[in-house]
Amino acid sequence: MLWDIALKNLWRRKLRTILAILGVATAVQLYLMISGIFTTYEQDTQHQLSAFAGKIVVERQMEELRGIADFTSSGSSLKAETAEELLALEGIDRSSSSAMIFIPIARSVMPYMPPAVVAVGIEPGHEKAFLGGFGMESGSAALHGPDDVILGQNAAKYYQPEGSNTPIAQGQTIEIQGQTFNVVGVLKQAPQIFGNAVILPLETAQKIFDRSNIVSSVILTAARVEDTQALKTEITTRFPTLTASTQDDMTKNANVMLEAMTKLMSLIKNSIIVVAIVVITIVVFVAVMEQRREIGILRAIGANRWRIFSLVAGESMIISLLGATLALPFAVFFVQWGMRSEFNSIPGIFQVWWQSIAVAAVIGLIASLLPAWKAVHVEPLEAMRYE
Amino acid sequence: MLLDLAIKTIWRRKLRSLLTILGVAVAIQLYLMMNGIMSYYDQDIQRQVSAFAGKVFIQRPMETIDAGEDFPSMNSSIGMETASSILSLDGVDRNTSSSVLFIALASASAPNMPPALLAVGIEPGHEKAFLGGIEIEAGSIDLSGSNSVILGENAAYYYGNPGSEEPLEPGDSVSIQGKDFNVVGVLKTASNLYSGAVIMPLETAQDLFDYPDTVSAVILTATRLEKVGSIKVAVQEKFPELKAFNQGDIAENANNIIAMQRYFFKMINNSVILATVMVITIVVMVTVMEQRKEIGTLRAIGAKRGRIFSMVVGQSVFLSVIGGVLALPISIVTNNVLVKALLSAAETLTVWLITMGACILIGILASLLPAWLAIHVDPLEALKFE
Repeated sequence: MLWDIALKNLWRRKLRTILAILGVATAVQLYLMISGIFTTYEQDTQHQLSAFAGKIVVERQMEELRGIADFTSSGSSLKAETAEELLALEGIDRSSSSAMIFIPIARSVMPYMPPAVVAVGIEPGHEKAFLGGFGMESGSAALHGPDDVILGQNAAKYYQPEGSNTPIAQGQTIEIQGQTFNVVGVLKQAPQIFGNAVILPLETAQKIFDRSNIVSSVILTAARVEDTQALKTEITTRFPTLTASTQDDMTKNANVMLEAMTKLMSLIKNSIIVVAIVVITIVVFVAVMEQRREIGILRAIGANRWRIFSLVAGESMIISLLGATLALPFAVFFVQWGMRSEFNSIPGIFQVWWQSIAVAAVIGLIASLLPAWKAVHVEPLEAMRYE
Repeated sequence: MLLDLAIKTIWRRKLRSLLTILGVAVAIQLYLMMNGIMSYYDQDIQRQVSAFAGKVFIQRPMETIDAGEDFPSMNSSIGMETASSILSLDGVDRNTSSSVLFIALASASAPNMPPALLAVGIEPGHEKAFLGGIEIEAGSIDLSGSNSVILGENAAYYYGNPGSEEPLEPGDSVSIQGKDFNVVGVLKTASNLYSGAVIMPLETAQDLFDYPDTVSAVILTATRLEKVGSIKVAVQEKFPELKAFNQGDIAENANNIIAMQRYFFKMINNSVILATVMVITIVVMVTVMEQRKEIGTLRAIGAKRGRIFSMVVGQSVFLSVIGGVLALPISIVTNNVLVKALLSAAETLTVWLITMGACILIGILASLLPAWLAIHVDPLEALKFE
């Protein structure tokens, strides 16, 4: 395979090789960072969607325009009476259905993500409507008193006292809008929308946020899963100004969001790949031109074209793979340093790392095509003619 | 300057130079795009902020963790009683002050932007509270009829007859959330907040969207400009649960909102610049190594180090600038795919000029190492071997 020769060639031109590897590392680092963020979004969205299996979220209808509806920050409003009518529909499992109120308490720094902290008002006794299958880290998922709250893990971290490193735990108190609340439970690790939630009784939420007789939405669970679709149809015919979204509708909506992101991200990624290919092509191309004589000799003593090709491709791959390896610590560093902790994409980066290695291999291969073509067409006689 | 020599050197190695320029063009295209998007945001913020000159905007605050607050917030609510006691504060010009209800009609079409369509309920006779700094394209800003509506530019297009590209005009009627309205005015091009605005009488909006007795915000205008500060303080003191923004606060908040995006874009731009510098450095360095003999000869016949230096810098800057020039048409294509020509021609020119500046900087940075190698070529040694 002549790998040793490829390595020796690179070693001989240390400065140039190092520069090329750094150039590739810069490019792949960006690739990694972007893929890492995107993967984190995708997974969070997936988890969030799966939590809404068999549920219907009813909100005020929005105009159909390219855009991403997020039911926690859309500012939907329904009259409390309308919510009651909805909850009285037949075929509903009332205990896991509830009128809800969502009030963002702190914005998220990441686009298309639920608020960094969101107040979720829910009817006591119907916590399952929102919390469905999520387990508790500590405490219970039941709101008894008007001042009880359940916190998601991120919210528990958000409310930890300044200077302390331990998140708020069950039994402690927090203050929202000047009112003190008792933390009765903390959720297990969950998607952002649950992890960022401060869940409190609906009436309390209406009071402290000045929204008497208004709710944001209603979450319904059908008594039998197969009735979900029929229930949705009934709601949209009886309440033409409302929309009812099932898990499928939410998935569609999420895909619109992911698509918008994919467009920008893939444009960036493709540009990066082209740049990396150009860097390597140039370096390897120059190396081939400098080694015409050596290549000519190799050919003359019987090396076939395939071997010459693999020599060139080897050089190219070594540069791209080393660059990709070096990119990982860079990407982790920049994400750690620049992004906020509530959106941690570092696990995402590690997940896509193998993928970026594969991309690097492809980059190396493509970058070697032009130089390799030149190399295999070196005419032994001509190359050795001049001393 | 020996620039001719630099260009000749580049010409002699056509394929290599072509590849380099291509690489630079792709990288700079990305840089252009990122800068274009960012300056669109900056421009929108500026427009929005200028519309709130001399005003105090009051809404229910969110907790801030550097990420800023929604502005205007769709989730802020203030009781009507509270709103009217705010409006009767001293120093408030009641005519140009109003309680306002904001309801999103369509979610934002891009991250960190206001809703693409936004219903704004405002007290008739006090339209200037929201529209004071905004120009009218056609019609009036008189909301005295209970079903009159003023549309922003984008809203006028959105509600225009399907199929036709024509926007609505004053005198047209439009159905919003199942209710019929008469268009009385259409706004000129303004920030996104106004562009998507569907402005209607407050009571009509409260009725339509089930918000009895509450509003989202109160916008105050001071009787005299210098009173803005004291009004803000008065609101804050009397209503500690609310937050008052003056023009400066609005600007600061808007910048907080896009801080993360700015970091992300900067990160991409810096990586792009770094990668471009590497590409050019490598190419120019290889060229210098190949030309040791020529450089040695030049030095031997009396060329000063400065001249050799400028020859190498010239070569490097030439490569990066040509790449940058080539990037412009590419970025126009990619921008159209992605964001549909967000910027006006003048702004595009500014972004492009900045990019050309960056290209020159990239060229100079990339030439440093090769130039250092070049000026340290020893004439004797370089000419020793044949």
